[in-house]
Order: sequence, then structure tokens, then C-alpha cells
Amino acid sequence: MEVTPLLRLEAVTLSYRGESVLRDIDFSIPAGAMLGLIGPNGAGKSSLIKVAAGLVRPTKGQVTYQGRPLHSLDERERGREIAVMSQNPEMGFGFRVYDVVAMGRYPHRRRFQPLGAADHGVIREVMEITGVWELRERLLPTLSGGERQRVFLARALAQSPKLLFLDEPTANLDIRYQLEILQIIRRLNRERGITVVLAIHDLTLALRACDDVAVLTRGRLAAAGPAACVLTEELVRDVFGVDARVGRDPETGTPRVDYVSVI
Amino acid sequence: MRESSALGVEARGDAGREIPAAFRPARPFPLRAPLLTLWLVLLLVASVTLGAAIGVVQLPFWDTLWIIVARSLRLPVELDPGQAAIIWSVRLPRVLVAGLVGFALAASGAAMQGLFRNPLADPGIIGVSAGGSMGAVVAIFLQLHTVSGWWTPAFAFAGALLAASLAYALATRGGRTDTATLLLAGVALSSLFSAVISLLYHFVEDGILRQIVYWLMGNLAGRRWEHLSLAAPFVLAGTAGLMLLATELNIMAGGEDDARSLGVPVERVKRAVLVCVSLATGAAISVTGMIGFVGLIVPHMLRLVIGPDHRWLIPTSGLLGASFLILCDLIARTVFSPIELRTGIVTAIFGVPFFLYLLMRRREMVAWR
Repeated sequence: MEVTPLLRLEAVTLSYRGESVLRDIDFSIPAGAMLGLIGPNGAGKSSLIKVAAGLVRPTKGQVTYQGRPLHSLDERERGREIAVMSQNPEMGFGFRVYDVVAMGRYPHRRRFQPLGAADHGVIREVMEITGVWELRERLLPTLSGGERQRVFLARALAQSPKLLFLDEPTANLDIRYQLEILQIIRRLNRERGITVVLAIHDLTLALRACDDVAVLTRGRLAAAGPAACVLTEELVRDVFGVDARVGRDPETGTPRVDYVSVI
Repeated sequence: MRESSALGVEARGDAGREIPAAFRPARPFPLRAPLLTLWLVLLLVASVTLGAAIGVVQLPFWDTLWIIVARSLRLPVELDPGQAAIIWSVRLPRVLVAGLVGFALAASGAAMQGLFRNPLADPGIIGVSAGGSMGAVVAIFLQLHTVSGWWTPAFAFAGALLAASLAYALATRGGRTDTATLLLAGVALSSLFSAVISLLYHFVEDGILRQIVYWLMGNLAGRRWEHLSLAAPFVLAGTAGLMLLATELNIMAGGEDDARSLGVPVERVKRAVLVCVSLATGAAISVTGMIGFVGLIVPHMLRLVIGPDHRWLIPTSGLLGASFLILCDLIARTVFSPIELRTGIVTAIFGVPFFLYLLMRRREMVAWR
């Protein structure tokens, strides 16, 4: 008996002004997955996230969430199920960190209802998980890149989503923050069963953080499956045009990808 | 490790209760919003009273306030009939129209700057003011105002709504409205309407030309209770609507895609904000003509003082805009008495330097970055 996947994309095509950004993508995400989305710049990773999260309707094909067409969910309902941390989250104005995270409770509140005790409890908990509780009174523009990234992760978590999309959450972060944010996400996936899909450029980090990977090139799905099986030297050569060695660190045994040269 | 599962939504109530106590709000902005709101309400009461007390005949401040309170509440007390008549029939309607228009323009300006995420947005930017002027000019050109005084405001209101709808239609495709396109469409339509108004100048005689120019400069002279009751329902409904949309405007400050992912019905919010702004601004300018700078500058002043939260920014902008316009009108009609200046001239001459002073002093805090 087949289990209904959490999210399913069927023959999804997305075009802007006649040019396809995504072509004919068939793909399911099972509940509880920790999926890395990899591919060269411009392969359509961000577009795929937008379509899969219901922010953009596909030109052709269909996205179903728990067996229902995604576009049939109203905005709030979708906001309670699916959260997205976009690539360069910004808030334009000088908002307080606490207020920014509190925005994540929006889909759970009824209209014109103020934040309740339960909301404040959730906000505090997700801020502690992401380590930004101490920053709650600061103004957003005064934070460092790493701090800001964690604030927006906290905002996405405040939505209490079942499915979390992250578009390059490690971009612009130094290596310590990259590892830290991936650890937080990994823990949320293992301990709370949140299904995570993250676009990521660093193949070593993808191997270490994700159970499965999906590979996009030029708008098509090139491969998908368990990270260790999919991320091979041939794939890196074919997709990125880079000669690489995929192996394990002899001392720690952690998987890693070494880049030899551009082919 | 805490036991309550935040991500499964149920959270412990006690965790929520301890937060307000743990909060020691720092003061990133110089004034806290609730306190400021209180001061602005007092300022508005003082402005209304001053506006009603000062004129060719000077009345004492407290007597004026007493007469206003007694008449509004219909208290059974003896009032000086002469003073009461000056205040109630002559000055108060004009003062309240000024307050209403200032409230509408400043509250709308705050919402527009938030929606467009653009510090140069003002309530007129979607073509409302140029459309309104065009409507009024057409009414004057056709000499409809000699038939009934209500034709000009009615045409102005219709012109304002028409211009906004046109800009909205031009910027909307496939159910989505692009704010950048809307902004450009509004600016383009405004230029078009201004050109058409200028074109009409060539075809009218001097008397009508003077009436047109007089209306276009924005004017509060001779405004009566009828003007107030004409504009008030639209202004109050529009600005109340904007206040109810404040949470959504806050979230949309982070961009439309982010707001959408947080569950905000972005397109509906945009449409609702535009309808509210068009109603409030259209009604306001239909009774006074366009008065500049209030809608642009007042929200910026407050953003520098209390920060960007629209839940406070919209109502405080309205309150300060009301007082500001009442006081500017007071200056306009008294400083060179008996000659009355155009209120719009005074708003610019007093408003702009004060705004620049604030901007220079708090440059490091300009909340747009």
C-alpha cells in the first residue's frame, strides 16, 4: 500500500514570458524527509521552492499537499502548514527582533486577535531553539548576517509548519554559522519530525546534513535519491562540470567532496 | 530541553505569562507609542480650541474650550450667544474640516509608504489627487457649481476614484498587482491629468480660470458643517480600514513573497489598502483641493520618533496630521490678516524645515534601512 506523500509535484512546468524555468518535474516529498536541493546557479532551485511552497502557481502540472491541490488551501491555512525562509530575507524597516518572529504567528491568529499566551510561548521557544532570545529587544538592522538569518529561521518556525523550505540558508554565513544553522535544522527534523527541503550549494554540507538529495539542472530534475547514492563523481562532473573526488575523511569518517578542477 | 512542543502548536500558558514581566523594553526609538498617542490627542484638543479661539475676534482659550464642550454635549448651560455663534457656526466647521483632511492625508500617507515600501509615496501617488483635481476642474469648467455647491466635490471625488481604479487596472494582470507598475501608472496618469487641466486653461475666460486656480491651490476658507458631513463618513471608514490592515502592512514590509509564505492574502490586502486610501483621500481633497506635504512628511516624522510599526504609525500619523493642518490653517488665516494665505503654502513653509531638522538630527536612525 502506498502512503500519500506530504507533497507531490506532477508534471510541473513553470514559464516566465514563454521561457521555461522548470520543465516537467515529477517528484514527491515523503513526510519526515530531510531533502537537499542542489544544482548550478540558475538551475531553478528557488523557482522550485516557490512553486512547491504554493507562492507561485505552476504554468502546467499540479502540486498536491497531503492529497489536496495546494492552491485550494487558503493563504492562512497554507501558512500554518508550510513555511519558507527565502534567500535574502529582509524587513526594510527597523522592526524589533521579537516583533519580526511574532509575525510567524500570523496564520494561527484569527483576524484582529492579538497574540495570546500560547503564541508568546511558541515565540519564546523557537527563539531559544535558534539562539536569538537574547536579541529580542534589538532592532533588525543592528544584527549581523548570521544573527539575522537565525531570526528569520525563528520566524519560519513560529509558523509551526509541518513542511519547511529553506532557500540557501547558509549563504553569506561564515563556516561556524553554516554548521550551526544546519545543526538546528537537522535537530528539528529528527526530534520534531518537520519535513525539510533546503537548497544548498556546498556539496560536502549537503552530504552531511541531508538524507536525500534532488539535483536540478536547467529546470529539469536530473537525479533524486539517498544523498550518498546520488552525489557521485560522475554526477558532479555532468551537472557542475567539475572534476571532484567524493569520499570520506580518513580520520573522522565524515563524507566530503574535494574539487579537483574545472573540466 | 523544554517539554512543551511549540511546533505542535500547543504551548504552555505559563511560558506565555512570564514574558511580559521579563520584558524590559529597551528604547530604540525616542518615544513610546502609547505615550505619544496620548500627547497627540491632547495636542489635537488644543489645536481645535486654538483654531476656534483665534481670529478677527480673539476669544479666551478656556472659554472657547468650554463652549465647544458644552455645545457638543448639549449641556443645559447659558452661553454667550455671540461667542457661541462665532465658534460654532463660523470657526469650528472650518477647523474640523482641516483636522479631518489632515487626518485622512497623513494616515493614508503612512499606509502608502508602507505598501509601496517607498519613502516618496504619498496619498496622491496612485493618481488620486490629480484625478480629483481634474474632476473638480471639469465641474467648474461646466459651471456646475453655480447650479449647486455639491457638484464640485462630487466630481472631484468621482475623479479621484476613477483615477485610482484606472491605475489599479493598468497594474493588475492575472490577479496580481505589481506595486512598481502601479506607482509608475499613477505618476503617469497624474501627469496626463495635469496636462489636461493646463489645456483647459486655454479655453476658459479669466473669471473661471481664477476659480480653477483657486480650487487647485487647496483651500479651507468658508468650509461649513455640510462639507464636514460630506467627507467624514468616507474619511472615517477609509482610515479605520487602514488601521485594521496594520498587521498585514507590517508583514508586507518584508516583501510580498515573504508575506505570502506567512499566510498573508497579499493581493486582497493591497486592494483593500488602495480602496481605503482612495476613499479617504478622495473625500478629503474633494472638499479642500489637494494640500501637499502633510501626507508625505507627517508619517516620516513619526517613523523617526516611534519606529515603523503601522499599528501605531497610522493612528498617530492621523492625529498629528490633523493638528498640523489645523495649526497651518490658523497661521494661514491670521498671519497676514485680513489677507488669507493658501493653507498648502503654509504646510510647506512650516512643515519642510521642521522635517529637515528632524532628518538631520536623526540621520543615523533613518528607519528605511
